Amino acid sequence: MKTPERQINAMQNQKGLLWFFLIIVLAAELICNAWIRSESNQAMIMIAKTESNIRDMADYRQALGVEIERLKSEARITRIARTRLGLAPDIFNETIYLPKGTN
Amino acid sequence: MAANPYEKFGLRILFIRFFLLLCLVGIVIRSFDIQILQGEALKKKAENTYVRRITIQGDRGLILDRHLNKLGASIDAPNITADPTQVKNARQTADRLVKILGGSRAEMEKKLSQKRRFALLASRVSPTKAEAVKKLNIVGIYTPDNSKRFYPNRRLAAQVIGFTGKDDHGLEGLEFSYNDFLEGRTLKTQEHRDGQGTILDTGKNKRDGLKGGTIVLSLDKKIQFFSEQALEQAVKKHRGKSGMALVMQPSTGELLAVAHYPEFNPNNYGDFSRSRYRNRALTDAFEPGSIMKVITVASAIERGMSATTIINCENGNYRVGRSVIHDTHPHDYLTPGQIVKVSSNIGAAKIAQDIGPKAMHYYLKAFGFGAKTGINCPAESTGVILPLNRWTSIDAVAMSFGQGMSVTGLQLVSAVSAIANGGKLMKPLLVKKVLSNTGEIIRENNPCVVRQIVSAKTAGTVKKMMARVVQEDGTGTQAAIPGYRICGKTSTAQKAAKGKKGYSDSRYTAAFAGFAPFDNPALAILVVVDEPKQNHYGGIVAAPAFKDIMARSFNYLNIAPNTDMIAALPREVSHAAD
Repeated sequence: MKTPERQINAMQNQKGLLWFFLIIVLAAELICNAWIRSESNQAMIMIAKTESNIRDMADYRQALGVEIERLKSEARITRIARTRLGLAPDIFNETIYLPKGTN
Repeated sequence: MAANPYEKFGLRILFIRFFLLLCLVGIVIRSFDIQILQGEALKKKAENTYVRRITIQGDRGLILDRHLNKLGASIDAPNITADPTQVKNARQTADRLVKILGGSRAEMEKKLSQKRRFALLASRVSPTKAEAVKKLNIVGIYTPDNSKRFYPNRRLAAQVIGFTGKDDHGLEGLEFSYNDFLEGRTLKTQEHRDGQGTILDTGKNKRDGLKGGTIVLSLDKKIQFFSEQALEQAVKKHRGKSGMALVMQPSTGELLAVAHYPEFNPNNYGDFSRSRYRNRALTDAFEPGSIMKVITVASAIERGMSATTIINCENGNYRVGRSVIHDTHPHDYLTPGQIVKVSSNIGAAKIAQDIGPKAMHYYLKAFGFGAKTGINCPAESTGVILPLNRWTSIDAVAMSFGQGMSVTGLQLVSAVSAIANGGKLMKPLLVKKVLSNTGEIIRENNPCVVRQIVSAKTAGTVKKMMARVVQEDGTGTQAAIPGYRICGKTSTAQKAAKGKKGYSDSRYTAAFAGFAPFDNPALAILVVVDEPKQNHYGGIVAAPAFKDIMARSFNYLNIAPNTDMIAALPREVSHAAD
């Protein structure tokens, strides 16, 4: 008579373990899912921030390019040369052409 | 009989199983309800909190000179917008925003308290301000990208480039005529936001692909600057009303400079009179005066007149019908070359009478007068040449020395370039290339010969005549540059009198047109000063500006003198050596 009881107990234990295992799997799946979702969200935020930084840098570079053009403007350079440095036009670059034989 | 304990357990387990199954069924049913039955409605509700539909616009394309220097560019200038329905505390938010953006707090609060989903709080602010607003991290406040047009060289070539309005749409100049290429495209996309309110604006990455095309001009920034500077000096010195200077490459028709004075700053065009906006080199027609004598003489020589023909210049007075033509200085007998050199009206009139009105009309048209050049700039004028059947006896005669007709500066410099280019009229070129935002060539404008007007031999003969104008006793000696053989022609045209027939005695157009070096003309230049008061002769008012532009351009382009000259040391150093 003892043998069937043991067999029943063993079967009950097996079923319990099976359920426990099933619940563990489900819980693990849920945890994994939550972890992956939060990680992917985090990654998306990081990507978005990096892209935003890249764009800002590109915009900044573009603005600097325009600023260089503004600083290179002949009108501005000439004005600074005249008003701040007191230079007259073409003093240093002026080339005088003399007829052959004058030297 | 009491129930077996195993049976009791079994019953309980069955009950729990049933209960769990019931829960599972409940979950499945609820899940079905949420995901399928209410799915769409809930999705939209959720999207409203974390997805925002936005419209992004690409930057306007660049305008570059021939060496790819930026003449017009767009810079980042974001807008500050709000979704008032998401803003929790309008007063507090307004306070924080006003500290960064400035302006009235009450007005800001009013905007944030509206029951709409969009409010523009500030337009085109500096990127620093936008960044500061972003850092506040207020729910419902956004900083969508936007751009502002900026012209780094300010006034340089302003009339040619034009400007854009507040909506970034071209209003004047090339900004207007090439708006379709330059304007950035728009795209409707979505902006995402996470649970903490962080904006995941990955949709904006598409903005680069929406950028407008780029146009590459034939203008040379440096030559443009030389021209504007020389023109300004000429107009100011002789107290002129306005002026223009055009520089063209005769062999290609490419315009290297189109200068105007007075100019304006397209970055704040609203501060200037509207009359300054237009590209007068194309839109304003004027009586060209004596420069037309070159055309008259070229036509006559092409029709067989000898360059050594002697023409009686009637000692300064010549009657044609009821009109009397005068010369500034009386002359008796002159050759066509001398007529060009001393600018004799009577000589030119007699040449025109010799070739006849029909031929005169034909050659004027052949040189491109009375028709658009096709340069693709807004409001180009054709000038005025009356149809041949409406010409009176005086018309052909008057046109021979540039009165009774009107031309644009562009037509005139093209005609003079044709003489420099062996009689070939080139189509003027201002836009060399149109590029897509990826750098591919969409359109390339290559030099185009419109027609061969006169033979290369005739053009060569006329060139020699024009070279004498700048030599001793000519009218254009002030255009001479040591070491270079310059060809040119002065013009001093009386303007039509206001409110009466005939010409004014006090209002003139002074001009000088020419090209150099003689053997291989690299540049053709036209300088026009309108209504100079200090002096009105083209040889005194416009010729020095011509010389200034030509000399500085030769220096810049490394065009060596065409006579046997040697370079000496700069003056400062040679003085020190003495």
